[in-house]
Amino acid sequence: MIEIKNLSKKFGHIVAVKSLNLSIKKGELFVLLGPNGAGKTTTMKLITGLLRPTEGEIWVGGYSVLREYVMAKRLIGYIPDTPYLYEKLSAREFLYFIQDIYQVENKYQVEELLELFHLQEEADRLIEEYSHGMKQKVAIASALIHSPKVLIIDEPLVGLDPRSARLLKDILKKKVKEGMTVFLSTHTLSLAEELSHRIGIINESKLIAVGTLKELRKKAKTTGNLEEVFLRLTEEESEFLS
Amino acid sequence: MSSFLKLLRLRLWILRNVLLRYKGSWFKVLVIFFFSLSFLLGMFFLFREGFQFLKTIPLISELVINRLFYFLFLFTFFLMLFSAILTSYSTFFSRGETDLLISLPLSFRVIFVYKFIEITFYTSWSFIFLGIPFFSAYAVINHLPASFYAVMAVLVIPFVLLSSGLGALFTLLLSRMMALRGWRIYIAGIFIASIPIFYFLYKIFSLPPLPSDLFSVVKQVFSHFQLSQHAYLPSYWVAKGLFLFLKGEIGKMNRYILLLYSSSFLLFGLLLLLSGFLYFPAFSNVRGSLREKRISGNFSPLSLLISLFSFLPRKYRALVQKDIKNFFRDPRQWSQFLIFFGILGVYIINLRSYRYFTVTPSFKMMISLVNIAAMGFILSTLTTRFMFPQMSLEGKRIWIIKLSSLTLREVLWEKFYITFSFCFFVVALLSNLTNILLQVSPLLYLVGNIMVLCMSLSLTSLSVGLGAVFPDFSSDNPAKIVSGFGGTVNFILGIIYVLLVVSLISIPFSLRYILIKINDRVFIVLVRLALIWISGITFLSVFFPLRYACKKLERLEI
Repeated sequence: MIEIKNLSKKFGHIVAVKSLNLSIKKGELFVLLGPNGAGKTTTMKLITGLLRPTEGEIWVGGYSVLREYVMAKRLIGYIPDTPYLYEKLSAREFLYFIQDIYQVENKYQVEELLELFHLQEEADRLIEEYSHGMKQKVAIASALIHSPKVLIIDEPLVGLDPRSARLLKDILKKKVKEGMTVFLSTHTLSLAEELSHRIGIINESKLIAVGTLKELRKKAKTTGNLEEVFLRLTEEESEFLS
Repeated sequence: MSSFLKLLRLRLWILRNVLLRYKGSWFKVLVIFFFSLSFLLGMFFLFREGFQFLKTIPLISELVINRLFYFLFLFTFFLMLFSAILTSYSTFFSRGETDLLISLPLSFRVIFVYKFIEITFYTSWSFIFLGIPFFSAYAVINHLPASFYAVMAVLVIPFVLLSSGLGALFTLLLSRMMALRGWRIYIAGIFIASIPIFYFLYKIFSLPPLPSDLFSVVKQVFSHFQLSQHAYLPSYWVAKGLFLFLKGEIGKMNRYILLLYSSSFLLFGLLLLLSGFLYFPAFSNVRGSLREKRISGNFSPLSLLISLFSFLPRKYRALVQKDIKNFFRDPRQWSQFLIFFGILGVYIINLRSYRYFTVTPSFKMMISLVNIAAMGFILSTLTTRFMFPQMSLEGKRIWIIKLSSLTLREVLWEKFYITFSFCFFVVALLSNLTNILLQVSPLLYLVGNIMVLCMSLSLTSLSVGLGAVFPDFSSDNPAKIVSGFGGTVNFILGIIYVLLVVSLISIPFSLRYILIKINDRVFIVLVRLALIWISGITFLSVFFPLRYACKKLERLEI
């Protein structure tokens, strides 16, 4: 569902992503891990078409993100780490706007999502009055409104209370079972362990390891948890590079 | 419904919510409404008086008005073009909304056009706002029919689109073609666009010595502004179209209308074409350049400026450093700041051209007082635009100060001292330079300096104090903070203050030189009295805003 070939992104002299090759299939939940500034957010912005690659190509659902961007974006739902919401709209209005842009046929979709995220009672208040967690729920609902084939999430649990976090995890599990592809970046390693089919570790702009947790353990030569694996692999790579 | 219409509908929803769900004070809304209305009416009467006066000039009144229109349209065209360049960079490439729109399945052309409309609005609203009383006054004086307003609208729409379109095109090409850092693109754009504007201003102010008879003067002044009648300028097409309408030559007028519309359609078509393959790469370029930006720790003009404050205790020095760095690293702030001083500089440099007017003491006095008023108005605008938002810009970071050993009262005073030192230094420098150029009397020289001191103190207190009394911690955009209620109050009070003190000081000088020619003793007594009154008003305008600001900050809860 997501094909990345030889992807590089440079910001002037700074290399943010270097020669990334990755293939993520339908119904897979892929987690991208990495230290701060490793290139996770840039990778996600490249996949969603928010940045233009310096080299390489990305296809989503068979559509080139660079050339057939409108078609590719129709398939994508994106939740950035700091989502932008129109503060002077209510949650309901914002979701209807997004629904209109994606030309969603199901008229009840907005109401269903408001109910799912327990936002019905607050749905007509302006977003500027919402707490951080509520805003995050609106952003998640807006990304799910067109039942995307690919969901890209940057730090999904930020600002969510335990109940909402659980709800989101359950939604992701259900959607993945239904065939949605999820590309997720997080620092919450327990979440990655719980949800992921495969994990990618990016360090200093390079994808240094990809595989299931079992495969990564093997590569890191440890039987420990994901934290242990992550620290070993990123440490080894940094030592090697230095 | 097309995607573009959906975006426009979104704007209408937002506008509706802003209007119908307004939760602030309705008193504020009423004050702003009545101020706007009074401003419009005031401008209308002012323009009407102006046109009335021009009509009284024998033989050449029509010619003068004719040239005035050409000149004004040209001036507006340049201003709107420059404003479009400034606005388009921040609108096309801003974070937040643009990121959301680009992540949605919308074509880049749709996003571009949507943003272009926003730019056109921001670029043209002040022209429209000032244009309504101007053209209405002209229509009333000349008893023009209602069709005049319709023709004006038909002419102005493509004119506005052409200036904002050229600005947008310039920014788009520059951002894409120059693989420079984002802020450098911005500076380069401003610099290039500034050249014709500053040249234009230079031309206006640098009149050569004028001959003695009126007709020769008029002839020379008109030839000076010949540029405004260049046949390739859209401003010429609008003015020409308007005059042809007034002459009843509708057929010829239609040619100019056609020229305006065909040019704007051509430009819009070109923008549409280019935006399809230039907008996204330019957006990506600018975003990348922001990531690349690194702050050099080496010697820089900024570090030199900061070092001037090295005598301060450490905690105050830290505050000053933060404010200076934040200000000068935000191109939106200092680029507009430079424009202010650029215009002021051109004005001062060219004052020597006005020596012609200063042969008599009364003219010299008048020019000098007009200069003081001009300094005051510029200082008032400057402090409102740049100093008023300073406390609000502490924004969500204000907790850092709240938790530190500094009190918010100390922060307020730090901002006051910095602003005052800067304003006084710059305005005193310019004022003294002006006085030297005009070779004024020692008394006027002294009065000028006292006025500059009072105005710097008062206008600084108003902006810093009211900025703390009416803070807007939710916004990071200084222009937006200023456009709120507090900024409007600051601007109005600043203007009232300047009008008041300049009027007060003008009384003795007018009595001495123009009206009843009072003797020296009475004149000096009246000057002293005026200065006492000015000091009193200055004291009040310093004391009350800062006192309320301190109280407000003491009670502030985050």
